[in-house]
Amino acid sequence: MEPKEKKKRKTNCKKSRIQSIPTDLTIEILSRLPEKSVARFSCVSKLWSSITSDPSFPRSRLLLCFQKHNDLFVSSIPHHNQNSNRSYSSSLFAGSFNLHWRLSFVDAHQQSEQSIFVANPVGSLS
Amino acid sequence: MSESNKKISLISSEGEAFEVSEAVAREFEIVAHMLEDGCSGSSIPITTVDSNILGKVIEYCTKHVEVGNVEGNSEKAEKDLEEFDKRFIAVEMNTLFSLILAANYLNVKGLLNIGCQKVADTIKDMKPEEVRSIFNIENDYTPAEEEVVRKENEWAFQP
Repeated sequence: MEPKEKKKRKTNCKKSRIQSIPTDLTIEILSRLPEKSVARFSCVSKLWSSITSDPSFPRSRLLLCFQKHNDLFVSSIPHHNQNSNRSYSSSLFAGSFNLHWRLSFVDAHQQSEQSIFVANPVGSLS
Repeated sequence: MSESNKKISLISSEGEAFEVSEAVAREFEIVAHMLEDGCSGSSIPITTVDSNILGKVIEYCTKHVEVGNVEGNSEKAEKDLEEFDKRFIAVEMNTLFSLILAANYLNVKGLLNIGCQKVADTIKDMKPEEVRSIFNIENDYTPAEEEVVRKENEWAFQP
């Protein structure tokens, strides 16, 4: 396994055809991909995973509003990642207002405990 | 057109000179800044871009300046330009990456934009392995780690 890998790397270097793309350009490219591709490409490398899971990376999020008594809680979470413990405050929502919002009611149900409603403030595809 | 008669030579990494009008050279934002900063020289070295790619970037900028100068009939001109962009960017991956890197360095926003979009469109439906090979990225996950990430994103692997 080890020597084989080494050899492979060597040939890659020798070919040296593909120049390495700096991280800012990688972000530029990844941010143009649909959500599904972005999720799949988190398997490419640790760097790519960290790029796409960064809160500042533009991706669709699910916005949740909770009403408890008279208090309204707003939080947005990554659309697809049901296991994520992270949630974001409403200020992030304001900051990412012009991003894509896609809804999945299946997700909403999985997330829901009681009376959660999902808001789709923009509703446009792009 | 009249005031952009001044010619500027852009020198590639191999030392080859490309003579262009000032208007075209100014499409390279990096060159525009140099000119505004009082760099009055008529030849500007672009040391990180080779002749092949520099020639292509100049072709792109020349076309965009030409179309920008045509008055009237803007809808048709815009369509033509779109067609031009489409054909221009239909190159193999290696050239595409070189164009993006050059556009980024020279700060040609339009070209950077269509280049990144083209890469995104190309890789959109690929598997992670294919993307690694295109970007020449080494997989730094252990098999166990990769398994976890794949599981987390299982839905994205379904057709």
